[in-house]
Amino acid sequence: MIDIGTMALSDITRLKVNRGEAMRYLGVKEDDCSLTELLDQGETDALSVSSPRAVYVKVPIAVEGKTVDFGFMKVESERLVKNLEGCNEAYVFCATLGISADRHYEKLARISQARAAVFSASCSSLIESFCDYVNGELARDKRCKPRFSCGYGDFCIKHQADILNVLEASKRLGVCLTDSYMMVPVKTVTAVIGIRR
Amino acid sequence: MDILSYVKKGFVFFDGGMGTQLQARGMKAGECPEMWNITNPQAITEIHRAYFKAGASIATTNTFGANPLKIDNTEAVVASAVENAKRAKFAENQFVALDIGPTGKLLKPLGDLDFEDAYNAFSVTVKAGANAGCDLIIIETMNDPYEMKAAVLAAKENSSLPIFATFVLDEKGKTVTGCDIPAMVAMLEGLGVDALGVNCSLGAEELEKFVPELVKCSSIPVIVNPNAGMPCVHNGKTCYDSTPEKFASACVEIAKMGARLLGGCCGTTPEHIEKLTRALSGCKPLPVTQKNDTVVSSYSHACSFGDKVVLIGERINPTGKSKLKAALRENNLDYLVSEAIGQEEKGADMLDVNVGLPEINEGEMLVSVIKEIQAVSALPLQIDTSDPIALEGAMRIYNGKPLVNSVNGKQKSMDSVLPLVKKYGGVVIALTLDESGIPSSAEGRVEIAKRIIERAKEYGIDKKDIIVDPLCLTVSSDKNAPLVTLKSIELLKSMGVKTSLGISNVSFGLPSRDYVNSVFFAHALSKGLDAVIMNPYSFEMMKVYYAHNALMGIDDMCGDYINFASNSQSVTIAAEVGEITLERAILKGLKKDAKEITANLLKENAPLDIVNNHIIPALDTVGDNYEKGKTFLPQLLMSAETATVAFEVVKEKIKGEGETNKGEIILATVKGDIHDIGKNIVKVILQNYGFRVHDLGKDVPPKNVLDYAREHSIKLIGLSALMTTTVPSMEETIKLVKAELPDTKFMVGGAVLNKEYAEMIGADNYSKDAMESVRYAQQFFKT
Repeated sequence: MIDIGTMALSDITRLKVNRGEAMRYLGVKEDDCSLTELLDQGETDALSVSSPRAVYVKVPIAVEGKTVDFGFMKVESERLVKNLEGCNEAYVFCATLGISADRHYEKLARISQARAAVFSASCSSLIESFCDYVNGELARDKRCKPRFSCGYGDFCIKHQADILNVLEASKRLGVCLTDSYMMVPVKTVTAVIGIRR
Repeated sequence: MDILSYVKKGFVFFDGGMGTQLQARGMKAGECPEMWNITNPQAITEIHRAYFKAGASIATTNTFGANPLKIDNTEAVVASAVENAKRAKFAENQFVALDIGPTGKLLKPLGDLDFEDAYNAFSVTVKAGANAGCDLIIIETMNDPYEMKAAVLAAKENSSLPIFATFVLDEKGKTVTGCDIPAMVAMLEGLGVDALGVNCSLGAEELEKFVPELVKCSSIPVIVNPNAGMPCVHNGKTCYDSTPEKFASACVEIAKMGARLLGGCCGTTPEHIEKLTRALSGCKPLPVTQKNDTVVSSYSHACSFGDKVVLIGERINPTGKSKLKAALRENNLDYLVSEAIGQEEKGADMLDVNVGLPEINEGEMLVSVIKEIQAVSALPLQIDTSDPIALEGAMRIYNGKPLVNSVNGKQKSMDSVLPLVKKYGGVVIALTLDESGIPSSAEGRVEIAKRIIERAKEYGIDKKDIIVDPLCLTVSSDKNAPLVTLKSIELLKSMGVKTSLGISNVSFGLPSRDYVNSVFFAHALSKGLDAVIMNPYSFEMMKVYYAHNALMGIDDMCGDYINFASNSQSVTIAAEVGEITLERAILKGLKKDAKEITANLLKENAPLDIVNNHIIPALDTVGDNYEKGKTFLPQLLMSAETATVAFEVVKEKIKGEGETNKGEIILATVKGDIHDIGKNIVKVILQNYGFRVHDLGKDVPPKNVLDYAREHSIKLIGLSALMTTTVPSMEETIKLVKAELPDTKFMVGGAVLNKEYAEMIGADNYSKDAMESVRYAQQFFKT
């Protein structure tokens, strides 16, 4: 049986903003305490405005040469082929923090660029934590490969459309694609997780 | 019988899912379902007929994704789809609904689809469906009220068909864009749809709990079209877990709560619909009742008048505000938006938006400002203009049901404003004045109010959608003026009419106006005032507001009052400043301290000395530290913002004289790119170093950059792009501008760029961070 499912996190306290990672996004090497308040605020804001949600499907995959066939899309990517070595199934998922984070960023950008930048970095870290959570749930009791995102390496970003389409991400998550293949809400990730035979 | 008469008679049943039926007939994953209308018309007709046989009265055409943004030859597809459904009819009272689904794109400013482009796409489908002879239009599976509005307007303006509209709720009872049920109902009823409700996303059992609220808010028939439970996939096909029996029994519960139109969405089959229609056969639905709530809405929530007085922030209005006037003249929308955010934080429930200035195009400006504000503020807006053209433009693009300020008893005003309120939906403020001026008696004002209410009724606008402002004249010129106003409120209230007041006029010409305003406000509240247009920054007014609510039993446990009172104390304590210098305040990003210290320094120092001896050296230190890797981006930004605060204080003193302008620079995030974080950072740092930045925003077409550069003779342009997919727009912009204005220079930045890449696309400078753009600008202008 193949499953399609949604995950919403009603208890957001299960997620954490990884401060080290947020600082890395901001190019901050160390916090001499002058940034603590700002970073705290960014984390609080990120946790309070986000509503993390994800959709996934599990599909059979077939690798032929440099191409991976997911049934709903064929991806030509050497790195993805390498990543999915030894797998005959994969999860494809999309996870998002929701559009409120975009609105909050726009709001902060009118008040303070410092707060806006820190908030954005906190959200980037938060969506990664959420992806870890989703990944953890999906990979439970299975031997899985590290997740691989569309747009990374030679995995052409145009496949974002195929992925969002099969997941019905627009209807289920409110995730849309712009003409230049950017996802909105901005803090959204799609990825493939190979399941080992 | 037409569909609307049929709905009046009893339950009406929609059909069920199309997708699973198509899959059962051999449609493959990835195939376009709408094309089946042309390639397999017989199969489509079969599906519709199966639903009619199961007892459905409405067949929904197979046109969910049939719009020009998703498919080619929309017209032909829609025409065949309607034809296929019409062919399936075999009895009386079977109707064909043109199905309109979402575009799959998010609207601007958060997404990249323009409101009018969405409208145009929907219009193509509507025209084709109406031409082909469908009986009604069903707009469904909408997540975003803004897109819903574009679709409803397209349906209204391109056909005279009945319009049904349903949206999608998540498990918390909101759309994924954050819109709640009362807000969606307010907007849809305002737009004049004929039935509304929910579909998709959840099964009947999960949707059940949201139906009471839907029925409670709605004065028109309610539709509920759930999925057949939750999805799973078997052998590559999506299935749903609710059996026809379970589905039907949950739908019966939903019907008992007051839903009148029922059917199915994803995963439901003719069997589900048959079980449903059988279960309800012979049953009568609850009557549809008229609700009398006065409600406006934003993209997220509704604001209703009647319980607690509604605070309408008055600050976005140029009258008597030189900074706002300047912001409007310079097209500095950030300033207006920050006024919106500030008032929201101070506790306003709504915001008045007035941008009328003789030297600007009010219509265009009102639309731009409202688009900007509604992107960041969740508060419903009051559109304040005396120009009917500007009003229409603004009501059209407003994301919700607005409050309109205002109509009055003059024939001309009623004739121009009321039709717009009817068409777009809204609550309107009615001022009690007419061709003969403002009556001196309360009775005279009530007469005008009655006349406006009568006239509105002729246009089909209900009394609940009119809030009367009985006007308040100046007490210093007429000692009885406030008493007349208070009496008018009393009389209007006794007629069941909602009231609003712009308070501050009462104190015109008097010293310490806030004292008079706040006491008058308290008196008006005691008469039952429903809304007030006021300054949320006024401590005296807010004191009255919170104390009144606490005393009148509308502030549970006095929670809001206590919160207000304790916060006002903490402000006083935080204002005490320790022994620090302005340099240190800037280095550490201490904005409040910087403000006070600068004010103190101004007592003994020349303004320009403060800039040259304190602010600039501090900024240089911060910039050096950043470039040496001793401090980091957030500190750089905090220092920049703190320096801005200090500059503002100095500017106040010199009132524009000796203002520094080291050069004019255009900044833009290129076409196709909607991430503007990098551009925003560069902007604030450049401004700090004395450059005047013209921020064209994000997703900016090359031609706009060219036109702006030419019009304002600006020679330095900064462009940002975040994605490899948008770098070509950057190249295109540079080529276009350089072809027309060869001496223009470009500095570029963004995550995917580097020095070589920048050179390749014809840029003159690659700025790896904000400070590098400052250095390049300094070199360019030789400062």
